[in-house]
Amino acid sequence: MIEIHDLEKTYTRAGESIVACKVDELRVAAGEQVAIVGPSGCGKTTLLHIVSGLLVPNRGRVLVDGEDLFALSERARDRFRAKRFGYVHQSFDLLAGFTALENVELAQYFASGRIDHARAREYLTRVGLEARMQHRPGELSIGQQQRVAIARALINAPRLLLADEPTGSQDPATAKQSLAMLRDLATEVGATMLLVTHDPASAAAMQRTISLPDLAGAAR
Amino acid sequence: MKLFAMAWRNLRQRALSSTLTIFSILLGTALVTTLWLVASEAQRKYVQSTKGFDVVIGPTGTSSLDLVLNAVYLAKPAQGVIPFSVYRELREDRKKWGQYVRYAIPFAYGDSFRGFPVCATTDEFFLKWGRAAEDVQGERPPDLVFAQGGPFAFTHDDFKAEAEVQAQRHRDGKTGTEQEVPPAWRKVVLGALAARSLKLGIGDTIAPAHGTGAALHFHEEARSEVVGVLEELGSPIDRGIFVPIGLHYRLSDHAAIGKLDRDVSADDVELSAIVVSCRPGLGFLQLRKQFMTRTDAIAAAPRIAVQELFQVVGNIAEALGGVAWIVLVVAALGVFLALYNTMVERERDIAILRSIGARRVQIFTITLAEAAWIGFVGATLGVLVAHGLAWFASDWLAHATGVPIRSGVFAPREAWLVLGVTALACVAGLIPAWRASSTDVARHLGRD
Repeated sequence: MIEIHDLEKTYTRAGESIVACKVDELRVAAGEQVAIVGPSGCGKTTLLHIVSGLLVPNRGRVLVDGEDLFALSERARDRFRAKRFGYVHQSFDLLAGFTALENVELAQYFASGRIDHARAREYLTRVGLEARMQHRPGELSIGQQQRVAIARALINAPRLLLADEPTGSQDPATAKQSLAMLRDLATEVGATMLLVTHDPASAAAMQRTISLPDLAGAAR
Repeated sequence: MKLFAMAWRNLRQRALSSTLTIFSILLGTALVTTLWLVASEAQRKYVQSTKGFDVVIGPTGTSSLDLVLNAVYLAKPAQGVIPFSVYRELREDRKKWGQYVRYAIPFAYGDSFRGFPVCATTDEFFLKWGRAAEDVQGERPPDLVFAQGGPFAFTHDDFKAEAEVQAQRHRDGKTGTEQEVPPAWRKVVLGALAARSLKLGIGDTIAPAHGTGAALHFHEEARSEVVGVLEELGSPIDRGIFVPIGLHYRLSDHAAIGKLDRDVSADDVELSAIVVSCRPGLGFLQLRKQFMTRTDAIAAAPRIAVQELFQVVGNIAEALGGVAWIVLVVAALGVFLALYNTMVERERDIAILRSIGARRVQIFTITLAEAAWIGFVGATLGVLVAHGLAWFASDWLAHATGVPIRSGVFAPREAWLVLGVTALACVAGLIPAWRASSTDVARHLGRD
């Protein structure tokens, strides 16, 4: 379960304080799959960064499964993220020097300090990449890279899956297929899912949609 | 996959930059190792090569070091002559010298064969020096063992007789005329390096040469047969070409007596040096003391002369070592620049690692491990390259300096050098590692 109270993140540019993200109240139930939509610049990605603990807000609280994320030390927050969160980025963000299998195993390593090769192979097989495990990202298609990113995000059976425009660079049919795969696997591991998207079809596929207000020009 | 393995993978990802940085470390380390190798091996070999040479008697007006470089290391031409009388006295005045001197062996130098020095002596060099008891330092020189054949036959008595013959020739005014060279004296024993480099073996013949460059003159009248090849000793003896000392006096251009005066005796026949083995106890000190007041010869203690030499050479080696360390520090700066300059292109990878749970300290460790890998691999290769070069150049060094280098022997301090260079590279990697661990993750992952 995610609870956000009175959240605000601002940046200072040229002496001016600009609001990058502002959420007064938000609750997402455990296992719920929610789309976050809104115009460009409204703070969708910033919200995911804050919820994942990568970005510290100027104000407000974020509770994940009752744990106040920013009451934790940075080290504890890193551990929390490694064990509880899965993250699918906009451009999948695989490490170019590592194979598909190693990209997945790295998430295991940072979560537990151990690598379960069999489990990593199993997840790649489930996303249809049994023949591509030893391939590096540059040797994979965009769709295959995205499936590696999905396997990496879910390998540790996260409590919270954060997906930032995961289908943005795909054609509608592939996007639908990828999203279905993501949702199915999230459901299987019981993960709460936050999906940032511009695509109405993707948003419609989720259980609920939250619109963030337009922050263009917002300043404090 | 452990952090060090990740670091190695990162280096492979940037193969060109990593290779160049490793190469710079390799160069610095190879330089330090080569200096150490040459300096320590030279010192060890120079000291070791003095075993068995308690005292060398040589011409007055020569420095002890010159005499030792000539007589022990065969690395310098003879600087003058000493009279046979000194040799005779050491051998025959038992009352005066018997308590100090175990044996004395004569040497005459002046010729060479394709760059290898020709040393004229008696068979006692092989039979006495080559089977010597402990020297005054309590150390035994290595036995002279023949790999092929055996020594030539030219005894102390033969030498005495030849000295008489040469004195008579001088008195008869026949100096400078051709002399018959008995076939039994046309025999030569080769040191191991000389035999290997010249590709000579038993039955081959050589003609010693006199002079250098355009003035080089081959003594075809003394073309001699190789009758023995010594086993390798790892000392300057390996470079030597040994001939009977009688042959030396029979060669054209060689004047057995330099005096113009015809009123001479065998005692005026000239030789280059006498190697003396002293009796234990005060023999060494007494011998040197006696020669301090003489005008016909000086006595040098090779071990002392070499130690004095290395006090000077040691300072030069230290100065060169300082330069090598500067090269290493510059190479470490290269590690810093290589890591720091690639940070921009790596920030996204670092952000990805952080987003999947890597802690700052782990990012710091990975970057530092990259620096450590560069240092470790560069230094290890540097040490190996230095030893490899020493191996390739060992024969040339032995020929040029009389000091064979043991390229296969690794000193413990080389392990410390590898560790030290690795630590230096780590220090160079601290700032890049700190910068990597401080990467703004959100900025390098997607934006709204």
